[in-house]
Amino acid sequence: MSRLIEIQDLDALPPALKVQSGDVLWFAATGGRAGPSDGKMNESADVVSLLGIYMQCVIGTNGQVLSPLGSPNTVLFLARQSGRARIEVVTGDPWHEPRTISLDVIVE
Amino acid sequence: MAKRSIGTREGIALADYSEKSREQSENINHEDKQNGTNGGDSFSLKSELGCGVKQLPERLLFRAAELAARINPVNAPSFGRMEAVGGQIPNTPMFAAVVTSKYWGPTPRRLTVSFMGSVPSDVRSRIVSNLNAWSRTGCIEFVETQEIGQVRISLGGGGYWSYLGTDILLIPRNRPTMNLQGFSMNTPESEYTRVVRHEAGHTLGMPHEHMRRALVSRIDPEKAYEYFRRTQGWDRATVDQQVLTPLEEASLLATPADQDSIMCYRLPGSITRDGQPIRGGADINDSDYAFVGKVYPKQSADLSSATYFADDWSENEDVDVESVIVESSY
Repeated sequence: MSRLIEIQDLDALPPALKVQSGDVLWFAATGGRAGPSDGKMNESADVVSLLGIYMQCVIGTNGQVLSPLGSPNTVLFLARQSGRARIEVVTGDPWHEPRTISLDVIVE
Repeated sequence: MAKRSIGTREGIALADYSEKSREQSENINHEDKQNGTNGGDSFSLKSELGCGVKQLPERLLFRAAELAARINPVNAPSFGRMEAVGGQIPNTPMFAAVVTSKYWGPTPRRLTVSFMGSVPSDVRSRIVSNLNAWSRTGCIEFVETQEIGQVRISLGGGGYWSYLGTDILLIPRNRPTMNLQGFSMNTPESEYTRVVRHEAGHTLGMPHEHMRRALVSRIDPEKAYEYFRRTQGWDRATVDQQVLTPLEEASLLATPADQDSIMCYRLPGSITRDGQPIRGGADINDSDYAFVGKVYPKQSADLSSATYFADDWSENEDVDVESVIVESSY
């Protein structure tokens, strides 16, 4: 069964994150990209892909979708197949000193 | 400074008109006394004031509000939200035609504030103090509560954001209405000023100033696409939504765009056409304070005692609203 894995603390991650094929990684972040691992584009692009950068919204008590004002706050990646990949997650304020964190992902 | 929104324009116009009416009424009465004459009737008063706003007969006010909302849902009144915050809603049809959209209304109110997760008391105090910076000129106060607040602040990941104005009352109570990622006692005071006061502005109903057409037009789209692709990984649609789509000016009070407003992001010169940055505001400026003082006056406008010149006619002359809507759709 695929899993939705919420990464809550970017500063407390292991050197490499081990997940399974089909897992979705959920970051509270403002941006991200599925980058190459060790410069090997072929390998990384097929292993982990960026599903999207989103603004997390809610359905209000009036039944309407309500969006906060601000930058995107959710980034999702999909572990597609076995292999190794590097992803980047951008956090903080996009308009003032954002921080980019690189993360190795091992898909089993 | 972006003044939100359609309802705000009407509310401010109404408050301004009532003030002017009272002032001029007092001046006229003073002149009458000096001249030894009686005060004029309402028609004399109107001629002194020049162009005046006519008001519908009271029996039609609710129907007018309903029609406005049907034509444009943004005009829908928000009674439920006002009641939820304990706002004193005069039980008069007049008030039904004024309250719209996400504006809290001109009467003083307190918004309760709570924090999600464990947040040290000194951080909470510092945040609430900065939320209340707007209270220098505005009648809305933020008060911390031990219960579940109307404003619920989280300090988790995902940057900085806030729901807009009265929308916060529609957010499920187990969800935050505002996020201030990573704020702590180690966060510089300049960031408390820049970020917390900005997000508080959203809670008060104010949108982003950098989305004003005059500022958006300064941005080179291709440079913006490249910049945010490189720094954030954003696609073009995200950049369009975040930076390049101007607000509908018709929904705003007509004030010049203010790049120094606290509600304006700083955008680098590398993405502008002229190479000059959009400065962005680091704190609430005089224009911001003046605006808040007008839409949330510390001495609230007493709309119930406003001087309006009501028109009237017999009920059998009332227009069929449904036929008006059908005609206007062609």
